Amino acid sequence: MSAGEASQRRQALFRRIAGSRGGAAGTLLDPAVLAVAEVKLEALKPLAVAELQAGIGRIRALVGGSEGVDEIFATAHDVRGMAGAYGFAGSGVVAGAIRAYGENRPEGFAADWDLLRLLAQMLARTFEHPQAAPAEALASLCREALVKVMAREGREPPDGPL
Amino acid sequence: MAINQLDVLVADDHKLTREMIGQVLSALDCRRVRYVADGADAFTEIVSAPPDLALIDYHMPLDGLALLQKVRRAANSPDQALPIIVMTSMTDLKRVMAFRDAGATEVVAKPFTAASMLSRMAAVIDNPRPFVRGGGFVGPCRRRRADREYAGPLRRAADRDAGAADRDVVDL
Repeated sequence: MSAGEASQRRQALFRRIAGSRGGAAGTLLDPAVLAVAEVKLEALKPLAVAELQAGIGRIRALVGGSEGVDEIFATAHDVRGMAGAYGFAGSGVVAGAIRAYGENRPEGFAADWDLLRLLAQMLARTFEHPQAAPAEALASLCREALVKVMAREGREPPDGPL
Repeated sequence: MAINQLDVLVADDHKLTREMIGQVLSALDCRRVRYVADGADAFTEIVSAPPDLALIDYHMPLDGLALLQKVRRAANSPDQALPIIVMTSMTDLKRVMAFRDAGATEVVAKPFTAASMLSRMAAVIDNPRPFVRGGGFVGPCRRRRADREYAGPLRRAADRDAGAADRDVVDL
């Protein structure tokens, strides 16, 4: 199928879906469809929790040994992307703070291990006790710590959500 | 049901995230879902058979932004108007604007829910925006509330700067 044919096929398909009763929104956001999707997502929760646990454990181990900054930030990114989907919003925020600390780091970057130790500890606590602190409060605490440390390092703190 | 005729490409380097998206799509019984782990493979898939919709992660080898720019602008891109939904956990305004300016059709924040993912897909299908090529931009028109029937004078400064080019539109 040529690109032009693919594009025409797509337009025709989209028109058909949009023209159906309730449009695409009516079909895709049908409560029955959403319920099925949620159940299917929930089925992956044990895998996700195991992966989060392994990721957080890895971050703690690396931070404990003051080594592997690249792996710490990469793992934090994965934890950030997944934690909130499975009820660990606080862990997601703290992982986002770790990731934000690693973003745009300069050549020869020397990590502040005290900050990383603090954040790794928070990460573990929020995973063990997901309801203990609201994500907003954790975000404020993390941001405050990042602002202090990054200012000392002459870096701009993150300006968006963690 | 027409929705299950959709051919969707999913590009994410995180295996479990690919599985999560797959589970959401399976609730629609999509006809064909292809999975790749990086932007380079995603582009290869698009060249071999353009999907109806691509869900691409921002943070992966050959990142989502680079892939987006390649699909929209590369000479060998087979389908510049391909609807592309960028998934990212980096939702600061600057980055979202960068996705928009690179031609993203929609952006989904991670962590996503079934509802957030499917609502973006529905928006792409229900409200296709005119596709713009010109004024240094290639992608779906960035004015979400544009009145396509409007034929009056253009009053915004931005209209005057890019107006002629932004009128060079084709349907998505």
